[in-house]
Amino acid sequence: MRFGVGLWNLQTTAMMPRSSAAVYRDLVGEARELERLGYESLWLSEHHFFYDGYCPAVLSAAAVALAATSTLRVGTGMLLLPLQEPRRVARLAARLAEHSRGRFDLGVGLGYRPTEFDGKGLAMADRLRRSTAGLAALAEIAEPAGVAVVNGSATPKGMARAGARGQAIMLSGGNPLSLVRELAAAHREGWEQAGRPGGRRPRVIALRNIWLTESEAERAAVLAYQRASYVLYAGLGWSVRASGDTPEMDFRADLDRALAGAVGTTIIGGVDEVVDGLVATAEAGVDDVVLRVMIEGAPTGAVFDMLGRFAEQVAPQLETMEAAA
Amino acid sequence: MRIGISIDAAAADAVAMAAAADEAGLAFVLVRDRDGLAAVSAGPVAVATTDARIVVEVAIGDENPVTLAEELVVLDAASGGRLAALASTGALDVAAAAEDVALLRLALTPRPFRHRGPRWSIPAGIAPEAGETIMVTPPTVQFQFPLWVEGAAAAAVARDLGIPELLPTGARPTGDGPLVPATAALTGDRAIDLALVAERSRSGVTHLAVSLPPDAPLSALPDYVARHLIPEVAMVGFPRLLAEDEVPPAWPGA
Repeated sequence: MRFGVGLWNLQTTAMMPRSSAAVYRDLVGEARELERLGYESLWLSEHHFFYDGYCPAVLSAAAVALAATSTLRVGTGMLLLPLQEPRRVARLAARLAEHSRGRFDLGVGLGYRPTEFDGKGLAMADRLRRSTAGLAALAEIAEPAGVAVVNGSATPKGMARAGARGQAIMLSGGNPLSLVRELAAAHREGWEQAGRPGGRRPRVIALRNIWLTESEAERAAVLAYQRASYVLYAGLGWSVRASGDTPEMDFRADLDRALAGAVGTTIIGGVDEVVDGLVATAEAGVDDVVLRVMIEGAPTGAVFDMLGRFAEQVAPQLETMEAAA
Repeated sequence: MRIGISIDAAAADAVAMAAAADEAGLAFVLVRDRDGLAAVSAGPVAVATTDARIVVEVAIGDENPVTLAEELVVLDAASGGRLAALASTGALDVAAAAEDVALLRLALTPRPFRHRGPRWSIPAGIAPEAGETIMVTPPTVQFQFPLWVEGAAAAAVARDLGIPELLPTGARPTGDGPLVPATAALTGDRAIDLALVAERSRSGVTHLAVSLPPDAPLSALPDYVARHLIPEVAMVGFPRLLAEDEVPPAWPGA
């Protein structure tokens, strides 16, 4: 199991006001620190026209993080593919891969906010068609240049299609483990039914809320800030559709219930508890985990202190851990 | 007149050259990207520099100007507010280029806007919950984002929109606006290059992006451009003795 860290949304929020210049300056220092601690990857996230400056151009931000580091992988989790011109985004991604010696992972998603499509002069109803054109351009231009394409989706069908293309997937941090298991299985099945393209099963990456601590006070703080970080999704209008054994998680219709569900995914505690949680995650079919610890309001010093302890005490125990078949 | 360096983003030493120019005190770095990929090639320049302004070439016509503006605001923040954009009109005709550049400029202001034109309808007005206007976020760090234009349609677009046109090598300024940027290729011959920058300054150019001769070492930035060419146009009647005198030996222990 390999470990990355995310998500860098690059916001300046009502709860944590600061200059956007400071946000990007911190990105440079934090990427370097992540690399020094031995993490494999840093993940960025994209939204548009939101009050907090949520990063609207993840490829430009990725270029900054890649330039500041030499071994760290940098990924987008996710770039909203239908919102951009397919061939241009493929050429930008290819350039990033070439100039970083293959350290760039392009996570792509459909997008779910109608106002973001409208603001770009687009109809959200066209998003599947535009995404298909985008994936074709990536296959033609970006993947041959060394870009690893990672798919974001919340449906078994979407994951099966990604598997059939031989591409990796990344699962949302708010997904309960039951949904993680279902989506990972759909991805694997899609890959197998398509004749195992590429010959090697593409990775299942999961964003997970994780915090290593023995302190009850820090535990309470982490859960409170995790909760606050998901209030953002009420503002953005995100939801998780009911699927299989997983109930619906709608941040607009029933905020308290959705928040409880998202915070309930958190793996928190001492070394043994966190290792057990990650073993369960691997048993659900996950290969690699991205720690969702860049939560709004959490002091950066505390985050990186925890990441240092995690890298020292937890990660080595799981180096040889494989996702369950 | 201020002097900056023009770099080719595809060159192996592009970022090192930007860093050397920054260290030598050049006013700006013009990031040329013949593939139209400055959205990612300007990022490493922002990381490698601290003081120089960064002018990025933005190819208009193959992406929504709102998306281009979003890339620019991210790079502006990443550079601490040191960014400027050079809109390259490419194959667009005057009307199309003018619409794209106008929309780009509008999207770079911290003001809700609405645009209706032959090429773009922003916002689309399709989603029921969408508003009548949009605003690109984060806002630029700078009060007013510097936007220049170049290309076949540039002169007309610059005139229509009241923005600076980057003059090609040797072109004479047609106005006396506060900002008249231009490009020039250096030869490496000091007498010729001194005459070149002096002529550009006298003609009314305010910001000159120079390109070094092929195979010029990075040391040419401090030892040639910063030592001889920048002082030459930093005042009227520069006494060249001040640049030509011998530099004292290295400081002991330095």
